[in-house]
Amino acid sequence: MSDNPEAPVDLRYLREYTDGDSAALQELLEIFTVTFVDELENFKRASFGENAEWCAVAHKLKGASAFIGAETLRKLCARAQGMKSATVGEREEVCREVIAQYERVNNYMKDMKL
Amino acid sequence: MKIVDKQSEAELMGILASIRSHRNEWQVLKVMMQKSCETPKEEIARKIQQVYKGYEGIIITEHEDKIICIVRMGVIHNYMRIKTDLEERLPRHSCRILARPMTSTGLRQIQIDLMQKEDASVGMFSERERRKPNVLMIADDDMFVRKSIKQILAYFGEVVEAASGDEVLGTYINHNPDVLFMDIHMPGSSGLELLDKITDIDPDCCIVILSGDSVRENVLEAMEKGAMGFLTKPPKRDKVVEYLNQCITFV
Repeated sequence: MSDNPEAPVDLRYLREYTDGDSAALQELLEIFTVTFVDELENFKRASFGENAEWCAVAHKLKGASAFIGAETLRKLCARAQGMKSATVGEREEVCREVIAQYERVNNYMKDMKL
Repeated sequence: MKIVDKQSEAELMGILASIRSHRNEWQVLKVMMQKSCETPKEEIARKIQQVYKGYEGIIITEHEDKIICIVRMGVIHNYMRIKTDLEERLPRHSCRILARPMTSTGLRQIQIDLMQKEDASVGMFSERERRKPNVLMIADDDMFVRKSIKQILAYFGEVVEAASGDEVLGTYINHNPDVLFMDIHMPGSSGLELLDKITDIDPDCCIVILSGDSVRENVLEAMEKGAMGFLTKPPKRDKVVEYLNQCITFV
């Protein structure tokens, strides 16, 4: 369980995987940040592209969010994944929400020195 | 319980139908003779036969240093208990025992033995049986997911990775992993398509599907195509380990 129920992340899975190895946990979080930021760029581009690509990137973001227990972020990505026939405007709006929530997650991890 | 020095069609046929219809009641015991054991293997086999007198199953003694027992003990929740019970009845420090449920892979192996196929698939299984240590594979297009799962797997053996559907088959053939954890949605071939291709070349493969969507259709399709299991992302560590232990070549 997360110590803080209001926290935008819950690292219980990654802590379990790394079995108390804080360097390994740190390394995983760094990989998360790098890959998530890359995928966010693809996500922004996909807002103007094919539905299938948009859904595929949203699915990937959803998976990564789940691993770090970022539940609000995961739900937003799940919503995006389900928007199979959305307009560009609707996609852009969700995209902005996802980016804003990612920033909350990222700031939280920085504040907590995770 | 019958002791056989070599698996024959008649013995395997005798238990196959029952394993097919009540697989969860069948257990596999690997009794590995310690080098220091002075008791002959045949005597150990007779002792095991005594322990499981009245049970359906076979005791296979064809391997030089191990005895394989396929026994219908009913549904078991505590495999450690089975192991320690048997250990107590065998000469002290004579054997190391592994007790596991009969897996779909095990069942497939029996079917292959029955068909006496001498194709590449049998070769891959035999190679895994002989090879030590374990080789474990993770296929996912998300590097973060691969590295996270790798944290669990690395404890148990060498880990190989595939980053796209197109890399999976080649990596699988090159490394012949004991277990493959595979995502469904990947660029190139999907996990479900790859299941068909891998089970064609290696019917004994142990594949666990990883997916963010536990859509009922996907789960059913994966199991139908021969996956050993299905895990929702992120999987619990214990669940991953549970699947590793179900793989018959996993040490």
